[in-house]
Amino acid sequence: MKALLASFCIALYGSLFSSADFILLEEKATLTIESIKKSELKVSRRVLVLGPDGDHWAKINFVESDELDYEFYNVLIQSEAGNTIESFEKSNFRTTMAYTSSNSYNDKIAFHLDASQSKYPYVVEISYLREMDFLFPESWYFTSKDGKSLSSSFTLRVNSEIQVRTEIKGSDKIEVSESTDEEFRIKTYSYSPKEGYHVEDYVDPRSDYYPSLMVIPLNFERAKVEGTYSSWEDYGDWLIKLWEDRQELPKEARRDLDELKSQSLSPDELARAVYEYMQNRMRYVFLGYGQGGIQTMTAKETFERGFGDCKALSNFTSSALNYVGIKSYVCLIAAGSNVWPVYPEVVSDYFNHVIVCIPELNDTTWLECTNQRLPFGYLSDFTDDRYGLVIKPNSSEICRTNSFDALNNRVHRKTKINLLKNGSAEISVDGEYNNQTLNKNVFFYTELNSIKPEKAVKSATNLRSFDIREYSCQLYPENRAELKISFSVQSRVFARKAGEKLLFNPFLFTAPSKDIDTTHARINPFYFKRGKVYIDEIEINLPEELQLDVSEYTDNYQAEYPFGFIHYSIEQSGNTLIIKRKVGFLNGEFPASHQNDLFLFNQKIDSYNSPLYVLTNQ
Amino acid sequence: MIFRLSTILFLALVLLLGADLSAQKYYESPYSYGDVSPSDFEIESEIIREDDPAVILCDIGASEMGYGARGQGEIQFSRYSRIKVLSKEGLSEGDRSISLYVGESDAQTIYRLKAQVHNLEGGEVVASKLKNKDWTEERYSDKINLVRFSLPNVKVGSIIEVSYEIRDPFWFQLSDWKFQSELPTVYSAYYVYHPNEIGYKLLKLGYYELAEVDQGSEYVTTNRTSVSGGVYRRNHFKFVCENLPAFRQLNLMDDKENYIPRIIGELSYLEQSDGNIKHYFQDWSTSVNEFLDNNTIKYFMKIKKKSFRIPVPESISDTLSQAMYLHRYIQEEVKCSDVGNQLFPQKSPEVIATERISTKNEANWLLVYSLKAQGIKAYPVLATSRNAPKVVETFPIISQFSRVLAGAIIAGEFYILDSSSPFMNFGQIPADLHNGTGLLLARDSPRWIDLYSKQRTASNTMIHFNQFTDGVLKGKMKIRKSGVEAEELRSDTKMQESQVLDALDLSDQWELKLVSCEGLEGESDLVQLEIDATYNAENLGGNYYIPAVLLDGIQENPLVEETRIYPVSYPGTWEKSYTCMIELPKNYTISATPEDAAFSLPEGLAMFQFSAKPVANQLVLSSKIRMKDDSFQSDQYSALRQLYDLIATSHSSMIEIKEK
Repeated sequence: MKALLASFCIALYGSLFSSADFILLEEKATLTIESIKKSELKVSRRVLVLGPDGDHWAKINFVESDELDYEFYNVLIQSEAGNTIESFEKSNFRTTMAYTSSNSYNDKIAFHLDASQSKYPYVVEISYLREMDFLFPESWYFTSKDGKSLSSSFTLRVNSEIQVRTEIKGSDKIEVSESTDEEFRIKTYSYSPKEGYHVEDYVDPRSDYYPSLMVIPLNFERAKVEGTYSSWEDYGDWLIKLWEDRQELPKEARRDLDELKSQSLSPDELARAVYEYMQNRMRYVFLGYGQGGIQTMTAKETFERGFGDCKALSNFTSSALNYVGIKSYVCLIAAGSNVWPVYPEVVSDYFNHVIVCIPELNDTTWLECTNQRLPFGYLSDFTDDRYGLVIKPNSSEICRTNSFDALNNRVHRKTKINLLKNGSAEISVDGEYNNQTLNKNVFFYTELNSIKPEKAVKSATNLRSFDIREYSCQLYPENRAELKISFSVQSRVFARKAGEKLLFNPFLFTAPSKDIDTTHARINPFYFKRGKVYIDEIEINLPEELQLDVSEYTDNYQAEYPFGFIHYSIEQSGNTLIIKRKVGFLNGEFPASHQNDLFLFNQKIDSYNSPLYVLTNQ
Repeated sequence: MIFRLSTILFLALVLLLGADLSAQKYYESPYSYGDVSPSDFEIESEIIREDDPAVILCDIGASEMGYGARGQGEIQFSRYSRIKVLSKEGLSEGDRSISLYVGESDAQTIYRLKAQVHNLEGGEVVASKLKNKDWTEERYSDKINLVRFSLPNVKVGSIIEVSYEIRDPFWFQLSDWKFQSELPTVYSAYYVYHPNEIGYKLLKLGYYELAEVDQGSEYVTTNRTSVSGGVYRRNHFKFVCENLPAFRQLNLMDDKENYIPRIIGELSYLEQSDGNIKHYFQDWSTSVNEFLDNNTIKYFMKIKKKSFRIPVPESISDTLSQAMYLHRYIQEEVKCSDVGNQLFPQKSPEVIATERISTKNEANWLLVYSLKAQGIKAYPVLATSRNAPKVVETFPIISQFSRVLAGAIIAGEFYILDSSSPFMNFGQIPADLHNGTGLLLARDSPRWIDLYSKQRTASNTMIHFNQFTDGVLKGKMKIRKSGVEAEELRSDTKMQESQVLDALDLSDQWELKLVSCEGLEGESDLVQLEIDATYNAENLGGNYYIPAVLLDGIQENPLVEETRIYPVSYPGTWEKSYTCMIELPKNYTISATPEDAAFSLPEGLAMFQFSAKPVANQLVLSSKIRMKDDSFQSDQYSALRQLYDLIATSHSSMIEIKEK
């Protein structure tokens, strides 16, 4: 029967999912909340894997801790014809420590199984039962983000005495049915799309787009402290109680802070001094033992050890700031990019990280405390531009961390090229990157990881076959959110030869372009975060015997759109070429009707990333 | 190292010697633990580079073979290291882990662990010590426990000291000692002590010359009163390396352990109570025979009449076809995993074949077994992969090997076979096993054999464009790949024809249609593709430009460093050839062509030829690269780098087409 279903699905949905790598045939989840201390999630799922990009369904990982246990985890792999190829139980999973980096301590165990096959199609059937001895908000996507789902349902069975809030997001096509039995109120949420929908990139994660369900218990108990999600204030008060009496600073720390206080610093200078004091004395170490996941170390213990996790370092920093008279609070935040969006109107636990908020300094200053190098008040794309819960007694509130507009996220590079007739070149580069252009930057990454200059230059530029002559990289010069790079190289193969002619691309660096899908008419507005501006100025000294041929790249070009701009100019003075390229991406939401313009804009960026200049004999 | 349990017990009982493990001073050090003065923070050394996050000031280890509390043999390993943090990237040196091996009935144990951090504060040295409660021992895997701790108050400029001892019951093997790491090392020393009656074979490995600064023997007194208190004669060895820069992995390099200076040591002999000397470290023949005598291995090597067999269809009558059938059968039916890939099989042949899940080594054990069961002369071949150290042939220790292949003699010809990967043809071994030599396990006469594939590694591309309209070239492309090249394509595509064009990873200027594809599923040695190809040439100022090598070219020199002391290593010899013929309509002409080029290393060990021949309205462009050796030493590096520069220049050159 299952084989028939699989064949049927391939035939029926062949055209619909012609580009699909997998089809989620059926998915059923049942969450049973028996008491404030016990919940069970039972899941069964069948996925038809059609190609290597669907193999991730057969590569299964999960984590257990003393609070969370998988009673069973069964995996069955079947052929297209329904024959069993392999079957696995939980005991067949490989186990490792959940976090193995040298500065992570935890009691969590990770389970791993790779049941992927080399012959397609095949069916992965999994079933598991997850048990937890506390209540925690559950978030459930009815379909994978790739949207190839035939049927998915979520049944919620709640003890009549337990109050839960449910929120449907992302679709009006989720059907809800209700019933009861002796002990439980039962609600079933079903999602069976009649047709596969096309996945769109650059969508606001808070938009109603991905069919999903949130289940939030009203009351909970963790670490023997009872709490409630009835309001942000109440939830914040639960954390305050959990962290009670953990803010007292040791004598030594108070002495050091008194000395800072005595220096007649302005509030801004004093806050900076406290932050640097913490950075210089402490480093980040993840502590995930038992309640270490939610309860901070005391400020005293953090000081004595000289390390701590995000909770401990933020707790210490906030305590130290308060001690010197600068009002500050810890703030819970959902860090990273792959996190459930925070809905301010839905009180829940969305958070995985802690930072510090100084509300009265420079119209709110935010501090990331887990990084010894980060400049004061700078939040990277790990925590910027999102909601966080600032924890205040009786008045915890949702606030938004700061963001930079496009013009303040800037890359500015100046390149000088002395091109020789044999195609080699002497090249020097001076570049500056700031704010949100740092994080995805190769030089930033290589600087943090002590990677050799050759690798850094090779990764960051299109230069090949070169020898480094000079290299320097300054990260956060004078405690600013900047990176300064300066290097010079001898490029042995810079210009390409065509007989006596030389062809070359003057741009060592590419301005990143966005991949705009034009195969489907856009439905959702485009949503871009963290706009950026890329400026490249290039001065090229040409070999005396050669001159530049006329082509489309010897003309200036300029285009302005609501979502960005591109300016390109070229001028020649004697044997020197001056080329300027400025590309800007603005942040914000832009109507779907811009689809074609966006495509053309990015196509133009691509073409100005790799223009070929031709030099011929004069 | 394979010991039967009875042997170990016997050895434990006959040990005559006792060394009071706590009484000896194991090593001399330029520093004493805890003794840090302000001047110790001033470090200047030529080996420290600007981007080094920390420097190892000293790292000293000592292994002493002795006698444990219960009278059993054991090694006491002591280590003291001192590190200075140079930048914030080096703060992670404060997060330490020490791995302990866990055996079936015994385990290494750590004791006397102490560590502290010294900071210079106002001209005074302030120490922050690791507290006993602040370190943990965690189970990392079935065989490894990790002792981990994070030191307090680690700052840029801190000096970190760590000292510990390990009681090691696995005394037949000394801890490996590495003198170089990814941090620069000012001073590293390793001491070995053992009673005269127990000998270890010590090998110095790596690229730098290791100084054996001291060797000798002395009489020492032990205060242990159990089996053998009193005075005994002890041999000692001391090895030192100084001023080693941080080790950096380079392109085209096999495992770094082949280059890092290190000492390995294995039990060599033991004088028994009756005065006879038992030798454990003899020759490969003895080691191999011991290995083959293992009960588990025996099961795979001696096939009884009624034993399990993979049935071979009767219609397959010749030996070669039978062997090929069995090879393919295991490839297709047994799914292999890298996890827990022990040298010894953990399952019987029948269980492997029926469960159809095994480690890679078990799949090849099954192949050896099945070939033998079919009456074919077959042997296990032990090997190591390129990401593990090469086997030291002067060190007859089976545990150096990590992988098992099958060797078979069929119709007088020798084949090395691998059934653990679906991507391997008959007679082909994976690129990562092209790692020098392997050991063919023939009883009494093991033989070193070169690990090679029958299939040479080659890639041949032929393009014929016979149409040209408005900058668009149309024609046919034929690609032939064999050896490692074919393996990569099979692996990249997971042998799915639908993935082939994606795997070629060509630019948007191409439009491709796969016409035929042969050999992708391993039905022949060669993978052959025929493709209808369209290429959009770049139009610049009215002229069209086409890269000289459109596919599979080398446009970048992989030899980044201007000089190199380590060899350049490839997984076997290889060659790449490319031919492209362009026919143009009469109203177009080829106005610029790349320069011809040729370069060869002495004795033709590496060769490159490149030519562009325009004839009337045709151009034939050809490129050929051949590496006749798989390893090039540092004295050949400069020439090899020049060769790559020339290839990159030629392959990135362009053809210009102009309207007449």
